[in-house]
Amino acid sequence: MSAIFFAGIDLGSTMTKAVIINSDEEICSAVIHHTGAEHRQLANEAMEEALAECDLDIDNITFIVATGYGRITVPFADTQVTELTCHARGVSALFPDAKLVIDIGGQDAKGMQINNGRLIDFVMSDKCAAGTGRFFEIMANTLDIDIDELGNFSLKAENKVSVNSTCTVFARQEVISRLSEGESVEDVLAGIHDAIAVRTVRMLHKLKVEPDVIFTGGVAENKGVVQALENRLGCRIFVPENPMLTGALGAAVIAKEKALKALAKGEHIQKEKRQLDKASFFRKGTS
Amino acid sequence: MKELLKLCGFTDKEPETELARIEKVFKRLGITDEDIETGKQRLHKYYDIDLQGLRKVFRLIIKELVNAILAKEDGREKLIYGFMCPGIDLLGSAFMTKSDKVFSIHHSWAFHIVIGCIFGKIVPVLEDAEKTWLKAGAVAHCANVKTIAGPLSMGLFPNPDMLVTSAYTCETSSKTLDILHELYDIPVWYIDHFKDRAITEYPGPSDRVAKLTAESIKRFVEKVQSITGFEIEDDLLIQVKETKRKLEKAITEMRKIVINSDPLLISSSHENIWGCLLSLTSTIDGIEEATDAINMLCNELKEKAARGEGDVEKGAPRVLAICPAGQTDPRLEYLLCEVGIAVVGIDFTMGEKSKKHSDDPYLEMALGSQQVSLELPPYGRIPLIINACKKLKVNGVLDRYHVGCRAVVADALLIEEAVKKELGIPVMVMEWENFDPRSYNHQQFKNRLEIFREMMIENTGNKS
Repeated sequence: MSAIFFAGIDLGSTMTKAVIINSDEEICSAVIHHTGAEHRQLANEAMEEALAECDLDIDNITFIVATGYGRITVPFADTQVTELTCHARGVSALFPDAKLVIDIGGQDAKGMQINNGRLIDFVMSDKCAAGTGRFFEIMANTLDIDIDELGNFSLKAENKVSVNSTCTVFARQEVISRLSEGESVEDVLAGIHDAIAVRTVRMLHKLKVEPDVIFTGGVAENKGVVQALENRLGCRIFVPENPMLTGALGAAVIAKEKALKALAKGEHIQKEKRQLDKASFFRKGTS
Repeated sequence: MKELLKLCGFTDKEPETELARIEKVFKRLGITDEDIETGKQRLHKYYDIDLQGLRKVFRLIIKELVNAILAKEDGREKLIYGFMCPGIDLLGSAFMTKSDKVFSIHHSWAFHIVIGCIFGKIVPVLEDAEKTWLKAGAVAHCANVKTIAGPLSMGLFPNPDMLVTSAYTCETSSKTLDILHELYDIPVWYIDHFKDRAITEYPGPSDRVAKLTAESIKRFVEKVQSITGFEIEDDLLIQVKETKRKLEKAITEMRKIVINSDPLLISSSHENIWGCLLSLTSTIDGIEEATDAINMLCNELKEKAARGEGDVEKGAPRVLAICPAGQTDPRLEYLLCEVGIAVVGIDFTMGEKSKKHSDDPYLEMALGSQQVSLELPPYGRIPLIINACKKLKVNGVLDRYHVGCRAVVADALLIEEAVKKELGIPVMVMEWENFDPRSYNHQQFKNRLEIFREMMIENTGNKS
């Protein structure tokens, strides 16, 4: 039997991720792009790049699952699955003993209680984007620091400053105010990271915090948040090597499950020929 | 206008005078030509408006609203509005059957359906109530009370001669009526009624509570008799009760057809419509007309089932929803269907009928009023919900809590815990405002409901 491949594409609010796996669930290629307004085109580009990375053609992919907020608009996907189900599966593929997943992405935060890759319960942030990647972007901009360095600076703090955690706008005002009062950037940043941890733990209140706790999403790359969360939760937190990819990986794993299930039943799984077209959200003639 | 009324069951045979009355009322309510178009679109989108029985039900609801708004002009000398008040629908029907000089109504229900669900124009009414005393966004200010206060502050309804509520079922209702008394000098009557029972009295009704409530309802009727000069005989109450029982039976029969259907025959957005019908305070003739409409609907639903049609895809996860469907906005119920979730029951309609009965119509009213979910504290409500889940064989519970209601809001997490522990099915806790369309957040709700649906499918697959 020739090698078969499966793909997952995660069109998040901020980043678009594509993963191709083989039948052993080994990652053959993975790409990450910024999500723009034309995310339908971007989905094509991400998939083309992922395919090129492992020297495959779209027709070599047996089944494709799209996830994330933009999942409906992926023109070449065979089916769509919600991002929480995909995250649960993706995390379990990497951490089989995972029980609690914290995912903080560009514009929202989620908590998932999982068991053997199955989603048992979930919580999601609502009403605003405080405590998400967007919050850190604004703080990085306010402090004129590269966003990737925020966490490292926070870990150098000597006296953590208390910062409001309920609103991005208020927190920004508070940061400016604290700096003008003479507090150091490191101490203020430690306060910001702790504020995020407090907010996240509050969101998780109705889920059971039990090991293994896994932290995913772009914000998981920030070591300051990881430490602040460990302090607040009182347990070790595991972060995947590439925490942004778990949704797309889970989508690829689900693609494999669906395809194998269908094949076992003798069902035809690809109804239409897939096309990586250049579909646009704009009307023809405008750009 | 004629097209809209046709969708709502009005025919060409309708007297011109009736159509003129509707036009007059719509004008008073600020319904424009644009609103009429919106109304037609919403009826087509959110309701199974091809069903002739449903059209007849809408007709009755519109007529009730028109009659309420024109009550004084029609020569009704005494207007009594009830709100969150046990027995008022039955008593109102008795008053109106007895005398055409009295108009008694649960005045907000028909208003919710027509202004909220059909025309999507309830928000300005809420905002008017918020201008002066019921602050927007404040948790304790349930939008239901705003739909009582707003129409009076906007002058949409004539001021009644008496407002009646229960002093304990919902504390904000009695407080709101206090305010209306202060502002408009409208007399307010309170019916004593409370939720607390000894734990040992569950699941049946409490004689102790029933006795207190019955006596209190009787005092209210004596008051109405002293104001109006007519007598409400026990026989009349029994006759109205019997007529209502036939309507209740027809609705129960229809719900059974829906519960047993797959694909789900009709969206839960219609639940409010039947609920409204039960709350209308029509005369005995009006109740019989409502029963005929529901019977017609039953037959149409059976035909629809035979054709294999439904409002949700076949095999969709079955759900018990906590708290009623959106009273002024059908969008959440529509979204549930769109996402592929079949709401087969609502806890507020799942109460067991009381096995205790009395020949005293007041006591009978009081006994019946205790068996609904709203009237039960958590240790009565949770068993009701667990039983309902088992009976309906649901795959999950949509635990939406009406955030402004102190009577139900605190139960949400207890319900979640109990259902998960006893039944092991997914529960989605969701905050919303049952009477305020501004609480509808399409993307947020959609995200959560889609995940909830997947959890139910996965959970069912794992068990099988």
